[in-house]
Amino acid sequence: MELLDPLMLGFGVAMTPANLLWCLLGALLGTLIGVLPGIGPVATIAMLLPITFSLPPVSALIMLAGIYYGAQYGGSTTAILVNMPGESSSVVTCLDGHAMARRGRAGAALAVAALASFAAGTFATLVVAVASPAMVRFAQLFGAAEYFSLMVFGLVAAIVLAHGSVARAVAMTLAGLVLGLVGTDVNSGTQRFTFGIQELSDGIGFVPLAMGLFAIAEIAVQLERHFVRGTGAPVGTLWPTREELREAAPAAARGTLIGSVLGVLPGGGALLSSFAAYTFEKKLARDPRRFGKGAVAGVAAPEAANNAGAQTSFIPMLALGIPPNAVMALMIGAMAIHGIVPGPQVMTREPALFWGLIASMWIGNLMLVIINLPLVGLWVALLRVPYRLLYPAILVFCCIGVYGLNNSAFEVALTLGFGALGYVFVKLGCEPAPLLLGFILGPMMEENLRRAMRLSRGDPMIFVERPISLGLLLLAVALLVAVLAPAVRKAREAAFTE
Amino acid sequence: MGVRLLRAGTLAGLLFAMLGAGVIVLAGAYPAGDMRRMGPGWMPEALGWALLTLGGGIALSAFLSGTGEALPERDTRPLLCLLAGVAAFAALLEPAGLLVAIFACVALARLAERPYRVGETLVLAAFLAALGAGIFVHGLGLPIPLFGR
Repeated sequence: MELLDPLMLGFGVAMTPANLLWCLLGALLGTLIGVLPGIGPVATIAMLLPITFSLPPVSALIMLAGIYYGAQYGGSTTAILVNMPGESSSVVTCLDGHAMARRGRAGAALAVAALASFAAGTFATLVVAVASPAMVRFAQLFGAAEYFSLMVFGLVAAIVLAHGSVARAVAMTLAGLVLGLVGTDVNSGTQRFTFGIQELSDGIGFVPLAMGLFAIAEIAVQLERHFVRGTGAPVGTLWPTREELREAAPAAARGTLIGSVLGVLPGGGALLSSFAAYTFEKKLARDPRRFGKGAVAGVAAPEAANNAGAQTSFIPMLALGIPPNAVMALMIGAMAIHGIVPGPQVMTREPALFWGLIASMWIGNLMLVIINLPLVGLWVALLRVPYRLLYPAILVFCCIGVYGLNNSAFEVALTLGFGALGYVFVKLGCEPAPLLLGFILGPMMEENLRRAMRLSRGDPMIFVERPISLGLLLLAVALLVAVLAPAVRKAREAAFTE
Repeated sequence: MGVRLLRAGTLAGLLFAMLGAGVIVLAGAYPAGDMRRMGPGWMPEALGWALLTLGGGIALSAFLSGTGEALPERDTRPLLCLLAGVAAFAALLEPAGLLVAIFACVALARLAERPYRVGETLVLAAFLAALGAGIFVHGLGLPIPLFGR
């Protein structure tokens, strides 16, 4: 079997006792940070990144994957128990998950979420194993023009998927592209926008930017609300009833399919998947009024979808070296620290790492079911700790995490600046996610644009003469036109306000 | 008219337009090259113009529209306390070491949320200092100074 051999290799790598331990530790730490309100997977991974520095590359990536799934699952736990989404992809889980908790079925909701996630993760791991090599072969056809067009498509997709005003999302993307250009220009060695600051000659760090925008600004907004958190619903029995399982299983299956497809889209990943799956279930249901009042399908479908989407978003990162979202950008950053340049060559040159990572996805999902359900009581206890004690802890670990990356106090100061900027953006109705994606793709885009133009001797027609490039650009235009069309615009607004 | 100026859209547009203008000015110092051989100034300049145009458009349309979204309620005290905490951490870490930096960071950041309890804050700071030193310096061996240089 063509598929079985590499997967066996992967499991061989991932199943060593040490790697299993790292995966377990990652999943635990990820959940621990992920259940804290206001801290999503991006901030969690960024905070815990320094922990993986001393590990060998494979173990480091396996641990990071564990952290990612843990953070993802931790967000759902908070959503169900206290009706506060730990991160945006579990917003929809709040609706029916917390409604179930109020009816005394919190334990069942947690179990359904975990089992649906696990089933979805198993399927999506197979999808990644099958699709990545195919994508790698496809990537051989890509030249500079195709890469550029692919990134344009990715940015447009991120804009379409952002909340709120489309124009502001475009502007945020452009601002991100500009921030990405700060530092030494690779082609000419010119220092751009560094203001003579030596620390900026390598560019703005991704971690200070992400921490500022996603952690510090987020904590400030949380504190401003002076929210009073519920003490958390009693968990009760973890076992779902037979009827609940019967309702959950097909919903989870549909959610898995939706998530697997949408996860590959740039800017999409977990967030879009969970929204789409929830909307689909509601449309499909015989009695849509049950949704929002504790429908089991309303928990199973989005949880399956966001986990499947989180998984398949590895495909473009592994196969093309292009991160479809902020989490994948962090993974690329982590790989770079260990001297691995992501892209089509990783699969052939480092098969152990490539397949080990894929195998660890499945193991990470299994860990979540095994450790998280028995440990639910611990997470509930953590949620009872007053926020006034939690947020200074989050802040201190953010600071240590940023400093630990490069031993640079300057980067901590940079985090402060981006925290203030992030707060301004929140208040002005500008979502930070497109900025982050622009920031990540900026340097790669410029590089490929310049290379393509050199190859075509300055003729921009190269982007429309090559069929794959043309196809990607047409898709981008179609997306933009679609989102600006009045009918779709209304539906999009409705979907986000729900 | 003053109210219109303080709309979220108007301010956001102005912010982007100002960023764009700044980028254009700074990018003028880098050679732009031509289409055949793009220099380091080409992409920044293009992005700068795009930001300036789009930002101007956003600001103008929000300013002229009859029903713009108002600026949301804001209370900057928590933000300022958090930023002060991070600033103290950045400033104190290398001269005074991790333990002092954590104490200062916690003491300042804790001002963001009332009630402020001195004893509780000291215990929290001591706990976090011990935890941070234990995990990152002793456990992971990151080269972070504990007591300053």
